[in-house]
Amino acid sequence: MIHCDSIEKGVRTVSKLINQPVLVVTDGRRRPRRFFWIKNWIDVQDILDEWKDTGRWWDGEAEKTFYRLTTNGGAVYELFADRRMNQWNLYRVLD
Amino acid sequence: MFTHLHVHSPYSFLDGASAIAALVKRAAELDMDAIAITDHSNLSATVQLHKSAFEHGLKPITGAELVLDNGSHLIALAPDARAYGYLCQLLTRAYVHGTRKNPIVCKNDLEELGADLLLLSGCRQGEIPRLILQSRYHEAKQVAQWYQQRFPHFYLELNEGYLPGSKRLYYALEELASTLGLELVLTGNVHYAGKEDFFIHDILTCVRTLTHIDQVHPERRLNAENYLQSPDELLSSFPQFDRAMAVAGELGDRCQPVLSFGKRLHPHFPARGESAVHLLKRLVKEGARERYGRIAPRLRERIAVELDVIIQLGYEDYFLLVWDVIRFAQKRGIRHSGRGSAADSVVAYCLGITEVDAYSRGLLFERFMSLERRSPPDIDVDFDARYRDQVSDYVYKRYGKEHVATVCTYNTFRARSALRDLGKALGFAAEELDVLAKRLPMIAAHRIDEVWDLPELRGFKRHRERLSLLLEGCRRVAGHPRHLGTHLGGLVISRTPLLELTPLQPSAKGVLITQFDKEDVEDLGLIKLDLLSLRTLGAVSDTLQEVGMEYGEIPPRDRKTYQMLNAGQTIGVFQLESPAQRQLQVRLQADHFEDLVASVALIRPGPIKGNMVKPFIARRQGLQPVTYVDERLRKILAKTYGVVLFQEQVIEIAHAIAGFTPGEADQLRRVMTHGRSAEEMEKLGERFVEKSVAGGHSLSTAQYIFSLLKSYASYGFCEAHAASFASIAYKTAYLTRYHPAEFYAALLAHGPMGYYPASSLCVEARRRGIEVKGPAINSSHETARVESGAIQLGLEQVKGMTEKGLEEILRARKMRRFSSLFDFVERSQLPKSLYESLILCGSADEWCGGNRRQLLWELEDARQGRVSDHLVIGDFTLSEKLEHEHAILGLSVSAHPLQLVRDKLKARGVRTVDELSRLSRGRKVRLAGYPIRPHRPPTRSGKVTVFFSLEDETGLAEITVFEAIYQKCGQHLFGEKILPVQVEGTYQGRPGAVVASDITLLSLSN
Repeated sequence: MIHCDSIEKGVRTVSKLINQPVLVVTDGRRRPRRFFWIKNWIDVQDILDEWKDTGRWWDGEAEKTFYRLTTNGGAVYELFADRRMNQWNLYRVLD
Repeated sequence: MFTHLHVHSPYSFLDGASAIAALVKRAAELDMDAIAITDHSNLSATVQLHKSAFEHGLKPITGAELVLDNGSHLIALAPDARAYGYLCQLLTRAYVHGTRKNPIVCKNDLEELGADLLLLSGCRQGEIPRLILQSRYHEAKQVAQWYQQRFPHFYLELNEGYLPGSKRLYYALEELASTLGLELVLTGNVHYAGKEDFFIHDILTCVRTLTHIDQVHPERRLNAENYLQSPDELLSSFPQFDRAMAVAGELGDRCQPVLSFGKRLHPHFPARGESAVHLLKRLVKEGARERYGRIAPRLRERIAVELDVIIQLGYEDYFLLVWDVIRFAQKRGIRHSGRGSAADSVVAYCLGITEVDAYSRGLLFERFMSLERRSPPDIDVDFDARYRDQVSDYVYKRYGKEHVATVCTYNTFRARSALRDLGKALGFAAEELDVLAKRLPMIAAHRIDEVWDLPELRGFKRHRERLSLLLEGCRRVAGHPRHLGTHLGGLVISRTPLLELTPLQPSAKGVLITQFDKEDVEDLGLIKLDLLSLRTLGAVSDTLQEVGMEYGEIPPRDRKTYQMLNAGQTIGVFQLESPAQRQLQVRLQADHFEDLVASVALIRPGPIKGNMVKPFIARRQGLQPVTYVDERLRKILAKTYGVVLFQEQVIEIAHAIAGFTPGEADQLRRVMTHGRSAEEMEKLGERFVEKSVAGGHSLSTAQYIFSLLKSYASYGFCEAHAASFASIAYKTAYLTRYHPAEFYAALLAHGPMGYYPASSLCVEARRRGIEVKGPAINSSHETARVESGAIQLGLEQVKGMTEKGLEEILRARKMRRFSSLFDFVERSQLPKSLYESLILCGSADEWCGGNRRQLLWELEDARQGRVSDHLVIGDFTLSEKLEHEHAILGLSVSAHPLQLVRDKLKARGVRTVDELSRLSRGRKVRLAGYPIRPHRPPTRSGKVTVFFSLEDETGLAEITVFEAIYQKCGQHLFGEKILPVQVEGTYQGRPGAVVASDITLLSLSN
């Protein structure tokens, strides 16, 4: 699914919803350092933003921590960690 | 040391999910030494915060989150009492500048009053963060400069961890601080104590924003981070902001508690050249001479003791203030009656504040005031409801508007209100909630789990999980304030301008109310004066005027009045009309005033649960010997035949048997009557027994006496209050006995009041042989009146009648009677729906031969200015007419609905209520009628017993439903609509009393 997003400073970007499990290597603060996507390990260059989302708690959904990050290739990704399921997901790719 | 400076309590109304005590406790657990509360546009939490914080060894900090005229938020903290006064003024002006529901602080006011306040730039709705998040950094900088130039204590606030955009916001704020030389301060923007409380906050946010839980709303929090975090948790979210954290601690250190308890802030009474003490003594002396004639030495001593306590505690001005208000009412001829524990005072009696002779009755002054308790006296006075506002206007004029305000109430979540609010947010359909709420007994929200066992909720087991969440939510918000309300009669009068102590805000009716309730204003050192409205007093006044009699002319012990009470014919009698009271009257056979005082106190949860009613009646009637386990109890309990009935007796027993000081004994009474914990009761019991044994009593005697007191525990009655009410009860009984038409008409005119609805009062009036006529356009007054011996309902009774409509009709009728419907319509300008209602309820029956359908047809022509030439058409059936009347008047006047099916009911062996008295005890009966006021009072066994009145065309029967039948048939009694039922049961021999064995719905059509 392709979304057209308006993010910082009025620059329009396009995002693709992925929402699939990925392998992630984390740092000492349990933040992503690199992740495995399309047969490649991708290194995280910078974490731009970080937030938590409780989701549909009333349906039993657990809190997720989201990271918006840049990688060496220049792309922007959003990953989230579901700590209860001990599971990382690649949520979106932003160009 | 870090201090939380931005915290919302439940007084942020639907934006704070944890009680003040829970927030303070959590801060104490985290070893903090202070905590601030900053609710939205109010300071209602201040008193409770101070008390709770002191209890936990913390320093309370007072503040508020303001809404400015551009819609942005700003945190304002009061570092000291002077700044607190400015904050009170600022908030008061916000309600003038904005509206009752949307108070707005205008920046001019902030400039005028904000210099001493500590101002924090606020959450994401603050002006500066908002501009930054909109990428308008330059404007944000200008705004920050505006604040910096005007306010010496302005800080940029960092909060809200883990939200999208937080990082960008922090960096921008950091840059702004560094560029302008401002300090950053770290806060938690706390909305609940623990992370686990987030779900309650989210549901409350849905309630506040009128969204369903499945819907998105910008004000719903994305995550559960707004809890009261420890410094370590905050640092992990804001690792580079240790200086901002230190600033929070420094500001916390700078702030001091703003309230000091224990001050006396009620006004000095203007005694004109005489000291207040001297004036009080003089007035009491004069009053005593007037009341008693000769003043016996013991009476003089009693008055001296009371005056000594009053003066030592510094309440002489307060007594004079109340005396002055009563004097005003007396001069204006406004009927009034003091109630409550004030009637324990001989001084109050001598000043004319109360009408109960505390000296002759031997009432205990310590129940009202004591040196040990030191709490302010609580004087409540009932006034004729029509003139109560005149009395309060006098108080405003006497002391000045700056010094008088109405006390607010904290309207808290109860089971039903919580259920409706939270249920809607959780996506329950309105109809489902309606069913659930109407069938839910009036219980506190924390007991809501008990509803699972109720038969009324049978069939409501769908959405079990969502319903469980709803019930848990209701339990958690139990007791949280939902909104501020207006106390029915409480005025607070202050020596200093009130704005130095509390913000004032308009109520829904426009009067200015404090932001503190009655307990909180007392803690502030103010005194509340309860000027209450009692409609019964208006009904009494009107009846006396109608029959040409004075209040004082009612004979004190009229035999026929007591005979009527003994027959249980007390519908309409103040305090003695409920089914339980009527049955008590029959069993008690009262013959003097003391029996009525006991009656008022007996039908209460305490004596009922304590199983005191039966022994009391048996002893009163001489069927059981009156014995005392200790001879010292004789003097205390003789007037209640050895039964502990009044609160004053608890105090006296504790004093006489255990040697408690009057203050200690009153503390025991308070623990007992406020339903405190079993643990507290246990401790008091041990102390009682210990002191009693030390005083020479045997262990078993001491234990037995305490068990007597304990069984009384849950809720007792103050004798002085019971005597005040009994006095009115007797007067209304007399009027019911001798002037029933006038009195019932007055009850209908002043209603709704009392236990029964208007329909039941009319059934009772008819049973007494009084004709009740519906309203009539040409002959009815505004309210019900007696015309030629019959009660004619007033035009006011018609649903949809407005003040303007009523004026219109009466004005036109004053010129001349209406000669026809055409004439009526031509000379009055009413809405069409009101004309229709008047026709359908029979008010126009004198025209067209009373054919209401024909009149409706003719109405259309009359409204067009044409005389009707319609053919004569058939009228509504009687059944249709009754339905219309009930819908429009709340009762049927042409006939009782049961009359329509009486023949069929008779064929099925159903008797009328009137026939019951001719049956023998134990006889099986079948009755039919409308269930009135079904209720489940507490019982000693803890089992559910339902009582209700069954109304048919001949009167009211009193039905008792025990647990098994209630479980089987309860749904027929507590439905959304009152539907007629058929009751099978056993006649108990007492007038109208039946124990049900089956209840079924009754169809009136077959």
